[in-house]
Amino acid sequence: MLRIILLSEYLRTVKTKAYWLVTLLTPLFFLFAGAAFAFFAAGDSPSDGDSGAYRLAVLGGDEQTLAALGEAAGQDFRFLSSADNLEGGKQAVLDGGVDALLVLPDTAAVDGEAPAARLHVRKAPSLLQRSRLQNAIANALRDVRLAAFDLPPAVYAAMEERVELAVVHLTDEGERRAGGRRAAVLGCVIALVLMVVTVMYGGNVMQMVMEEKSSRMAEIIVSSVRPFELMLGKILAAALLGATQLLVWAVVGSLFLGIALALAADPDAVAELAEAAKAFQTSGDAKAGAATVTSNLQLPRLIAAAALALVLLPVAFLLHASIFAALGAMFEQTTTAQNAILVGLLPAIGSITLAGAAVMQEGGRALVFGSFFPFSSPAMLPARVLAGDMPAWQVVLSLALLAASTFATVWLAGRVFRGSLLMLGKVPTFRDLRIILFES
Amino acid sequence: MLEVQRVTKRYGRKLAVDGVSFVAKPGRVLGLLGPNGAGKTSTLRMITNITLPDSGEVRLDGQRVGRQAQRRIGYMPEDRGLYRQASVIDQLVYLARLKGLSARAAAQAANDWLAVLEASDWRRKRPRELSRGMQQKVQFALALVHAPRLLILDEPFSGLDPLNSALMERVIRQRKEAGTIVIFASHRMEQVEDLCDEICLLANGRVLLEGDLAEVKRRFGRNTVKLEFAGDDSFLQRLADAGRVQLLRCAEGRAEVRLLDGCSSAELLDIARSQTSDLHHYSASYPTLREIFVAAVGKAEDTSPQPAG
Repeated sequence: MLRIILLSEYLRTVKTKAYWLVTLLTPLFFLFAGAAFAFFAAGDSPSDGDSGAYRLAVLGGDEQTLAALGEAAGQDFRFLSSADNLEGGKQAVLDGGVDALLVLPDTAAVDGEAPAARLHVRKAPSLLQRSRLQNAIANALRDVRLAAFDLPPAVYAAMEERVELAVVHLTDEGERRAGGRRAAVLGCVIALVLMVVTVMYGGNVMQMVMEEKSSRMAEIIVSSVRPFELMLGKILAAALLGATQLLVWAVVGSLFLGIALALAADPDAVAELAEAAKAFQTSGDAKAGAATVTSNLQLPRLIAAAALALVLLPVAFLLHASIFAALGAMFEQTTTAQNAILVGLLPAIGSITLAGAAVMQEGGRALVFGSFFPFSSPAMLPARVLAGDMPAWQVVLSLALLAASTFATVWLAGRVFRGSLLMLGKVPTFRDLRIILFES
Repeated sequence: MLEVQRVTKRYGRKLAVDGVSFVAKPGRVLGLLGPNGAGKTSTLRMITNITLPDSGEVRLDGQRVGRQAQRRIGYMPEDRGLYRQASVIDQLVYLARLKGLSARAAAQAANDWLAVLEASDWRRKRPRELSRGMQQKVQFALALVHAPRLLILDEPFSGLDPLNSALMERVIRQRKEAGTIVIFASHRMEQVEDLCDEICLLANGRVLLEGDLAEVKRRFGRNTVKLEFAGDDSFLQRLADAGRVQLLRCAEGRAEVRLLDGCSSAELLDIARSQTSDLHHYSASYPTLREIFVAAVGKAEDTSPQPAG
């Protein structure tokens, strides 16, 4: 029976034009949005013939500064000439001889004030170009000043180095590196994925149930099947529709990526990449690096965490989608259901908040609590398994809590679904819900 | 045979159905009647196993109505529709499959019923392409597609033109002759009178009247009298003023009156003979179902201080 409902619900939606429009247009939309962003971010800055570099005249700064600037700015910028004076430089910009006039600050003045450079342009550079130029000026000034103080750049680099603080847990079994931050970040990522899946496809479940009600088919269908089966069928169909959509996106995405790579393929670049990869494999640093990576990630734990996340994702979907199904059964029209959508999203928002707190605390209480709280445990449990600080009994307890909560939520949602589905033209009140849940 | 035995249903503090019992037999059409809020929909939902009774039970051919028996019931509720996105044939096949038919049998049955209802041309159409009457025929087909043992039709004719009503009526009669148990719920008394062999009249969640329609009418007696006469008709007005008859029609020597308490047909005949110069037609007939409905429900509401749902 469940199979018949699932297939019918799935085919009914998959046969519509709207489904395929959304499925096919979404990747195209992202592709065009990305292309448009790249196009507009690049700006309409003038360029130096075929090289595409931004041409500048520079005012102020000595030979050494200009050399440092040229080195720091790279190929994106060409420093064509040193302007004789401000007005002459501006005129050169207006005449189109250069794209901009860069007025450098006095490199020698170290007075505690941030040095201010000025760029006179006819057409503004893109934000990206501006940011690169700003960094190049800062680096050039730093190098010139280091030289003035007779400090070798290596000393400066040594002063700039970050200090890593590794936390080592001392246990009866031995020492263990803490992976709290990495685990919390993983939890946050899974919680985000869960949130996106819940929003996209949980909302679909709600829509499908509302359609059942508004089309006035509910009474005919529940005179043939149990409402609980109908609800489960709709949830599974929504999951299958989502999986189909993700599969199409994966295929379309790979196709576009393949085409993009084929178009951009430059034999020299490919050869260079191959060289670099070979060099990395054979270098001692790389070997050490690889060893560190392996030991830090603890491959078995990583596999266990990934497997757990994959298994728990459908469970989490069932948990969240059943709430959406119950909410959908209470409403017939999207306009009246809008506030209810927020109610359905609250558990997912709560789990994101917990994951965020866990990242801030680099694990801590938020991660521990989140790994037991059923709405966040599908995200946080794999995270703690990855961190390796979760005893087996806690994993079992967390899974048991999740299973019990999912069962209870689906059961309660099923009752609300059954009771509300046949209330046509009326949104159940709290009193109605009490009767539906506990008396009918 | 369908046996509804002392079923009760309460929603919170509201008693919707209060110990309702009746029997619907194969090859007979039972009219389930009652004013709005009498408990008809609640009763039908218990018969179709959509809701469970708080007490009492429903049996179909001796089997308690549950998941198995549910498959042998065809239901056309009053508040009904169709899936907007699905074609007519897909909807029929889906429901037939939910009722336990194989994919092939479901497709065959769906096509057969569309042919019977002269709707084969619409099989690939979606509801938005169909008129209201066409949609109603598809909903009718949804109730019939699995050849149910018990067919429940709640206001099946509302919004249908006379031609389609006649077609649907013909199909209902065919099902009845084929031995199907038919329950027909409606407020249209003329149609109930025309189609039904038995009635069950509900009010305030209870059975007011139940049984063979002719027998129920006999119970109410021949209380409607038609007269044709020459002469003065003021004697009828005097009887009406005295509360002994209700004057339904009276003009040009033709009158129709309903006998009220304390006035028998024989007594009226005597009065008419003595008061008119020429009484050339006098006939007493049974009340219409509408009259029975109004009389019974009116009486029930007079004696019931608290109407239930």
